[in-house]
Amino acid sequence: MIKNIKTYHFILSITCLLSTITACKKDIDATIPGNGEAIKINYLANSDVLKQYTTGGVGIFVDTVLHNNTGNLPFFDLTTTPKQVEYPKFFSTVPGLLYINYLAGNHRFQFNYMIPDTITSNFGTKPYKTLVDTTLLFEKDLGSLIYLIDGPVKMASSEPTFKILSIPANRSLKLDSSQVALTISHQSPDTEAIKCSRVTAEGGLTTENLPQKLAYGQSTSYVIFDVKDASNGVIGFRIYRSSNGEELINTGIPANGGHAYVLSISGFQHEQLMNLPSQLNSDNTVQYNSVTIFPNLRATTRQIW
Amino acid sequence: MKHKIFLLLFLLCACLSSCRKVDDFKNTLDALPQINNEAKYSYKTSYIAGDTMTIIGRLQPNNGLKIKIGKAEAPIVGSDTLHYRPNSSDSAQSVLDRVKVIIAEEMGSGKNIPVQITSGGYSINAASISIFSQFGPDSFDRSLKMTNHAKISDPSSIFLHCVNGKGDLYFYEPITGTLKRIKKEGSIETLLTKSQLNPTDVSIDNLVTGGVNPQGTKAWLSIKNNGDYLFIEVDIALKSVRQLNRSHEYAVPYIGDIGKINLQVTTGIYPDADGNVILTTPGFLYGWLYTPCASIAKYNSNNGRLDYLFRSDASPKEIPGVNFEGTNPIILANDNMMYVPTFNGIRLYDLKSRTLLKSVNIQQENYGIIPKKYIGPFNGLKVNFAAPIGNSSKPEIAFGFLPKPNRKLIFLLYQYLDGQIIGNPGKNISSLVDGPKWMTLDFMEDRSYQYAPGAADITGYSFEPYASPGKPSSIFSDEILNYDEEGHLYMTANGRKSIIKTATR
Repeated sequence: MIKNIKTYHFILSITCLLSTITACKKDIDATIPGNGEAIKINYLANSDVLKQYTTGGVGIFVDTVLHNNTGNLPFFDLTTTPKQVEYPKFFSTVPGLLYINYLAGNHRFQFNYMIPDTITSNFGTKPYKTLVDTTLLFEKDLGSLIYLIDGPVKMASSEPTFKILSIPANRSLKLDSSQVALTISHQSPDTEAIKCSRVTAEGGLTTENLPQKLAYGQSTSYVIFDVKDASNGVIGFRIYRSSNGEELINTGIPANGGHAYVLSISGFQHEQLMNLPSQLNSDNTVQYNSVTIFPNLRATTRQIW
Repeated sequence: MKHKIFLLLFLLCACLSSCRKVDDFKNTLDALPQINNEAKYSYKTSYIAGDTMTIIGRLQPNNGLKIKIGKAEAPIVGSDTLHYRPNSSDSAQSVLDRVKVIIAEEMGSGKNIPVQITSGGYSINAASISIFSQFGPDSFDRSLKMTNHAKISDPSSIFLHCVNGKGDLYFYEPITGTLKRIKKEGSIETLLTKSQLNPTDVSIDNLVTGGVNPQGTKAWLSIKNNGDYLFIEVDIALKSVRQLNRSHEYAVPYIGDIGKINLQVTTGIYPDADGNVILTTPGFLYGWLYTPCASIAKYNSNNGRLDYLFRSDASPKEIPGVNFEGTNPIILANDNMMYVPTFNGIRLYDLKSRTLLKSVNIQQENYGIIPKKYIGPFNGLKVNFAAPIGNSSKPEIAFGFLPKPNRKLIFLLYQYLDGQIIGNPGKNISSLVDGPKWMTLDFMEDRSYQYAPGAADITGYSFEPYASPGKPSSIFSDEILNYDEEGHLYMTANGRKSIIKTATR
């Protein structure tokens, strides 16, 4: 069939080559999701309810094996003063946020309330209750901020709820030294939709590029402001109730050119009564206490970069 | 066969001509001045006028080297060469030129000053630098000494916060029970007598703290009276007193109409010119005072309402506000500024928008090195504050921290610098760092500068509390109280036994 040995060798080598190429390709597709692109995530708990917890912590389990063992688990420690509610965070003089890397693609995040193993300790080591279980899709990007925020208030229940918000830390945004980028994030569960105005350099107010109906759980895309609009180093904002225009918050961001900020509207407007874990009983059950969460509607700025 | 030879010939020609081109290009490159920007060799990003700037690279000083910085040509004061090993695993060496120039005032000041290097007829733009003066717009042009300002014998007199730039000082004298004012020229007048300050419904047993508005027309005082806290308003012009709040305990309600809430003001009362009074209130732990300023409140005297601006982890949990970190804030209400010292740093908050404006860290100088790097951009400073900056920093290292408008803090650096850091304990080596110095931290330009040139003459005065060999510390803390239109500073000294001011020498 094959006329001479040369042809035979030729066909053989081509076949080998083809098989290797196709085999390799199959392997890559099967084992590395998201084409192996890395994503970066920073976790922050911005919850007034979680602030009232006195024992345990929050462990963030992600569907990658690597991070789910003790020591590597993203964790909020609620027993320290102040509470450690950002991860990763290390004692460092270097300003700026730190991130943990994952591969791009769909990930399941389970935020678990962790309780101590023994009654002599307060540190949370074993998962007790799932606070939030969610799946988020992360394309290849330059950083995401995952916020654990207070969830919607349940009527006739003092069970606390929580919610996850993902805000892109859009590091590819190109800013020059006269520009400041801002995303406004509505994280107050008992505050209806809000609208925003900016204080102009002349002292008036403008709604240009600002949300006029931002509901709880929503964040705006990045809006860019000129540092020339600042007064005394601050670009001022006013936050109003969307429906009736009542002023809720007078706030601002530093006119720090070339940087980006998240302005979080958080805290409750009304007093809340919550049933929160207070300590571990000697039979290893959790004791709950009724705790009042006091109203503290406010805006806080967080510098992303 | 023939076409193969042609092909070879053609390739050879192509090679040769490209070689020539490469040669030309290499000559051009060789003639171009080059800067070595590796961390070990690159020049600094900012300088103070008078500094020497060292540029390392292929500069060819004999080939018509010219260095233009900003608007002026920089005079070359030194030039030599050094051996350079581009790769640590490689023993190959080349030679680099090292050229020194002096940074001068006429090159300009501020950030992004261009650096242009010309050599052999070729010019390149090198990385731009920042040039700062050793001084600021409000600096004195002569050095400062101290003069006696007013005679107050009782160190327990309580000065009221009033940093208004007019040089007048307000104080309460516990012995006589009167409210007095030291005028700018040094004479003392009684504003309210004991009977005027203590009408039938108010009695000042124990004045805790107080503040006067910048106009000098109204004062607010916190008084402790039989376990109750009183917050009163004094109309200096009408010589009248009005009790605004009386609280037996610090508990709910905290917010609302001043007469209907509970309030305790323990450390600070800072009025602005518009009728707002910034107050600091305490934090308790298990019923005990944990920190005297856990929360920052604002009393609006125009509508009589009190609200909280900031809270901390030590605040009672019912108190709302934006969280702040740190202790002993320095507040200038009229500038809407709150400076909160942190360890080796300081955080700036805007009082109006409750925004963290910036967070500055200042490094310590290493052991064994005389700490001289105290003038220049913040990121290059090395000062041994050795404690949080501000009111809780050690006064021998840095005393004062008087807030001035446009985000400035004035302080006296190194009134006593112990020689321990260079292995000579017990000796004051302040003169090795050019003596005690009046300094400014400028948070607008993120740099420090000299408030006055030369060493500050503080002979005969110490700013307490600090101990040094042979000198016990006083229990009374001194403070810088105010400044005037010329920039002169008014302060207490020698453990509040003297009221002094600065004067030019």
